Amino acid sequence: MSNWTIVLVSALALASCSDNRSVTRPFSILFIVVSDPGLPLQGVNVFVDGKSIGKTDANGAVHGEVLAVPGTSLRIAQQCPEDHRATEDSKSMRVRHFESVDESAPSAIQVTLRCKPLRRLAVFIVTARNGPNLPVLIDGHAAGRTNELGVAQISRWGVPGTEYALEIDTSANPRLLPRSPVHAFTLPDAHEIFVVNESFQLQEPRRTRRKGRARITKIE
Amino acid sequence: MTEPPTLLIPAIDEETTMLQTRNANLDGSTAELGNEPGPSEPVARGETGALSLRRKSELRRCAEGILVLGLVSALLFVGYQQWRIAESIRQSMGELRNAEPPPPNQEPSPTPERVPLRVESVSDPGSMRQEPQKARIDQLESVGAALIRANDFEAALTHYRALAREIPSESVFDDLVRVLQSKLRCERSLSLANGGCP
Repeated sequence: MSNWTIVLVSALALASCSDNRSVTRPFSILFIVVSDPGLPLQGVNVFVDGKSIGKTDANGAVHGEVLAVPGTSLRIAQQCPEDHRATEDSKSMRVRHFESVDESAPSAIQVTLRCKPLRRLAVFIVTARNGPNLPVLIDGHAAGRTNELGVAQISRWGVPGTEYALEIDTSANPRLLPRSPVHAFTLPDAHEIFVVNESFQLQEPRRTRRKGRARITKIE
Repeated sequence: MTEPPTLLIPAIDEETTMLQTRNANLDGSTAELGNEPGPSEPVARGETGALSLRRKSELRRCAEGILVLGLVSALLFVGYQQWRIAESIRQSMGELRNAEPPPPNQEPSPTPERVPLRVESVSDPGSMRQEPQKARIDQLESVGAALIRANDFEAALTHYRALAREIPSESVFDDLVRVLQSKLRCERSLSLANGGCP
């Protein structure tokens, strides 16, 4: 009898010491997908170990409960929309379980994923002082025209690194100086506003010398 | 034996000096000598000196008063101008912040900046309001450009949002809103939650 008791107690003790890390646990994870830092992206499908969690909402967020063994790695990937690409193919995340004594502590793990836009928006704000109704060319093509106050807004999409040459065409009014000034810009890897300030001056008409006989003064 | 010559020499000197002075007065040949006062003049000169001193002090006081008055009025003028500028800036900022269109049954704001745009169709050439309308749009575009030049992106975002709403045919205003949102790191959806964007 006593032998059986000893065996039973030992078995229970061993069982209590057994590794319980192999038990799968639910992990609450909040995925946030952004196009640029702070700019959420809607409708992005998020995958954990190849299994879809769901699509992001208007705040770029999707919440998922993932069953995993603590200590194991999860492979996270996102399916970016057109004109976007993930900054990395997939992300690996090791999960661990812990109990928090702080009730206010966030219960869900937050993971931020990024889908970078392939094209960027360039907006040109042209302010041409003394230059109303002037054509504005971008890379030699007509893109807009300044209004009565000499202001024009033009937008263009382009891949980062695109170079633009903006010209305010004064060929219709050759008395304006400077003549058809050109400004060069390079689109960075972000949406950008380019401001062009140009101040034109009206050139005075040249005085033509009257044709006539040259006066010769004889000095003796 | 030695005393008489010692006494005589100074007397001669004085006499000579007196004669020279008198001669100069009679001559009046030089301006300096002619202006020298006579024997009775020192009294008159003292009176005129006192008078001129009094007048001088009065004049100085008067000038000081004018100077103080001028300074005070200049300060008041500058203060008033500053107040006017501040008031106009405050007013325009308030107008930009209140860019939301008024309810349909509400009368539009009387200020020229915030009167909602009534964009008439291009196919309406007979419209009499087209030209003023265009001028107003030009003015609004100019204000927006000035806000961007001043790096006031929040005010510019509000301004271009209003412009994009009122002129939906101009896609450039939507693009501007998009870029400004990107610059301010906010989206419409987030702005409601965080209040980070105007």
